[in-house]
Amino acid sequence: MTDINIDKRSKISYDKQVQQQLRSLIARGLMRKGTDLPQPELLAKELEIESSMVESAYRLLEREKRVTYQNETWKVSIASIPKIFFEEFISIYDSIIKNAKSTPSIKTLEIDLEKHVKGNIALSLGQNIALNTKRIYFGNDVPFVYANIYFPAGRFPNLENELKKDQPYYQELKAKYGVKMSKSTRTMKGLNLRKKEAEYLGVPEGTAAYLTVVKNFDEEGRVFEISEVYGISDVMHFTIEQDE
Amino acid sequence: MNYVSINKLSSKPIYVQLADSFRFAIKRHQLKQNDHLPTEEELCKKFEISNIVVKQAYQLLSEEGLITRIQGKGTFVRSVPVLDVDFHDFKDIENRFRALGTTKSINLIDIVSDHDLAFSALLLEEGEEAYRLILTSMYFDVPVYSVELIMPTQSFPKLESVIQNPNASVVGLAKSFYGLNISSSTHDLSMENLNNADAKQLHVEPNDAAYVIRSVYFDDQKKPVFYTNTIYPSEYLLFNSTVVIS
Repeated sequence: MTDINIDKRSKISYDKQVQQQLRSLIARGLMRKGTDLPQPELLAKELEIESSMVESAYRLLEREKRVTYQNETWKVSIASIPKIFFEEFISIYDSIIKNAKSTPSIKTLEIDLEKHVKGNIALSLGQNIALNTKRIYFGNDVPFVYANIYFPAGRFPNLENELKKDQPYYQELKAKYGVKMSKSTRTMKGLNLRKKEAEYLGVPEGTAAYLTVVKNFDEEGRVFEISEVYGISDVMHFTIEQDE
Repeated sequence: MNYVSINKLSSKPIYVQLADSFRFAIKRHQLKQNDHLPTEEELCKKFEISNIVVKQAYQLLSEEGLITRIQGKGTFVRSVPVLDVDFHDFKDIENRFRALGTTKSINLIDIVSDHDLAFSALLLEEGEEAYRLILTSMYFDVPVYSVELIMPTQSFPKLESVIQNPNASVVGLAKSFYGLNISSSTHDLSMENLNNADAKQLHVEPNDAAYVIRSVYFDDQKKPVFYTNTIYPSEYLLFNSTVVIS
């Protein structure tokens, strides 16, 4: 009936396993918007688990606004996330918003004016104190990326007031501080989300995710921003086409 | 330790010089996989530098995937170097692994009459048949990725007797044995948690993050010919891209 498998030896609870797999089926377009979910009792029987576990999974997905309960039936309520063509990788945020036709919003979690940094971040910024902000970007209130952003401390006085407004800031960087981006480099790697990042993205701890480190350079070749962007496959699903 | 050189008069920070020394030694194979690196104390004493400098250097190399630090045991050159691949070309991953010296072996050949994603991608009906092959690519004794190939029996009759060398390219095999010209391909990349079976096959922990690339290869009429599903544990691979803004 479904492509869901329960791993009874896994450390992940059964409801979270069902939630994760359904989320992936929805995101990949294998369960489309408007599709009925199986009745919890039937799915539970097939998976040989308690029906309360399936109900719990459905409620978790309901909280994420991926499914709804209407007329005694659970239905998929969100359109699958289209794949991102590589060319659009330049602006993940804009492309997801455009493709998913969803309403964007930003929540700034914290701002630290003098964050001590080390390693590659310090090396790239050329200093070990940064203006740091942590933000979650949403589409239709569903979190899709969490970003941990660093600017060289002191380079953009009062930028924190803009960040507090929960708005994108590139226009501001250009208009108020005269920053013109000349180049952007990104390194993407896979990892299992730690508890905190998983909570921000509304998924279980350990969920496989992309961490993209973005470095933006100004016209003088200096790094003016580094972002560590966390995203899961449900919203970041890349595709490229090539000749053989 | 004669591969380490430090010039205290240079404007280049000492931790960068130290990291550069190790990086070059690894590239030149003066340091090999699983080799033990000097302890912080040894380096501090020999070069009269602070342990903060050594820590910074090791952190940089660790972030670059060249070394691994194990609590209580020390610092080692990683057993599998991390490949840094241009995001524009997923195909290049396989070439890069091959250049490292990986070799593939066939784990399984069978015939399936259903496959959730491959059958729809190849426009096959449920009940039609396709070969399914699973190959593993090894770097010394470490499996670094696995490939599942789905090839319709109608287009690839008697495949089991044709496929002799698992390291040969499938595109080449399609052309030389079956006269099929593969002219384009599409590749979808997603990040997924590994299931128990795949994790076991790849010698990593269940639920570990992996890149999954699902590819469809087309002929010059844009007809899908075969499908591959490649799983790369995330620890061996990272993607890079640079965008120049005009």
